Amino acid sequence: MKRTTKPEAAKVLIADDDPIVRQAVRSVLDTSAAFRVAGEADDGKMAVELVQETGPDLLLLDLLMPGLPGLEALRAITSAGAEVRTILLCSAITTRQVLEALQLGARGVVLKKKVAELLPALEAVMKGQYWIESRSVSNVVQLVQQLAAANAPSDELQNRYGLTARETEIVSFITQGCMNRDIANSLAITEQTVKRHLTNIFNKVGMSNRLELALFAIEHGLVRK
Amino acid sequence: MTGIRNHDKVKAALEKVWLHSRPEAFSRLATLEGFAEELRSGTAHPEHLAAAELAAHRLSGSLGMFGLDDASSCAAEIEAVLCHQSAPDITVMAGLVRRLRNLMEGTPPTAKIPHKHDL
Repeated sequence: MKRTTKPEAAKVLIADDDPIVRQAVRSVLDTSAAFRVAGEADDGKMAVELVQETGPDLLLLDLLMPGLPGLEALRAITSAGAEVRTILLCSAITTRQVLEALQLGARGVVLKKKVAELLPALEAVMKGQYWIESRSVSNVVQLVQQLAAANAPSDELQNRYGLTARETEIVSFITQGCMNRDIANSLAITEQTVKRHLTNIFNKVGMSNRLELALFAIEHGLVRK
Repeated sequence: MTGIRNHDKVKAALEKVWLHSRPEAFSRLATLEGFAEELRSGTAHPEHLAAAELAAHRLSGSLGMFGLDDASSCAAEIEAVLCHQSAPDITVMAGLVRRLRNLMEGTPPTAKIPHKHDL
């Protein structure tokens, strides 16, 4: 007689300081045989420790927690080389935080008020996809570009920081991860000129490095579509 | 069909959690009401401010999970007032807390929250 074996349920660690939220998440997970709760953490530090101890497949991580905030916990987990797939479960999140979370290795974001989407989100992430803005996304680069495009620039915003058209162009290149040489080639100017523009841009928007500038530009809609 | 069934299961599970958690949620609301009263009487204690901030933060996070989106937003407004104002406006705070109770009890707000320029 042929025996069919049920796939093992994915282990989920819930990290949120609010016991009501943890209970709600647990109850949602209990409706599916595909997931089981591996543990609960009520602060970021405990989340980092439990990831190491229990080796969950998935981590549901709150953004604002005592001790160690969610993104700092995620940074620690990523630095430690843990293979857990993390979904941020939060009340609200800015585009900048989404981008930062993706850079730190997060695989998705689910808003607490959309907790009913939790199971499809977990399923998508277990399949290797990302889950952002209530849908699964397979290409993270495309996703980042979409997030950047969603914050398309307005003349008013650009003028608020006093950026010239050329400086705005350079900011767009920076958000795409281009190096000075690439920018220089694309705009047919020297690398030295690119550096001079960048210094002016940093001074105008109050940023000190390229990553900060890219995140700031995306969040504040300074980048071109 | 499976999706619909599972959606119903999730909804039922969350309703059950809300019924169980309601007393705790209203206890958090009471913390906010107590702090609003302390503000009114000029006896606000820093420790109670921290407790009120935590209560507002947790309410803003949890209420939305149970479909109380407006109540969640109201709690977030209270959290913002408590976290970002060194001296929270007494009337604004009282109005927001009253509105939160109305939203959590499922009754429409009876009074408009006054703006500073109305005072």
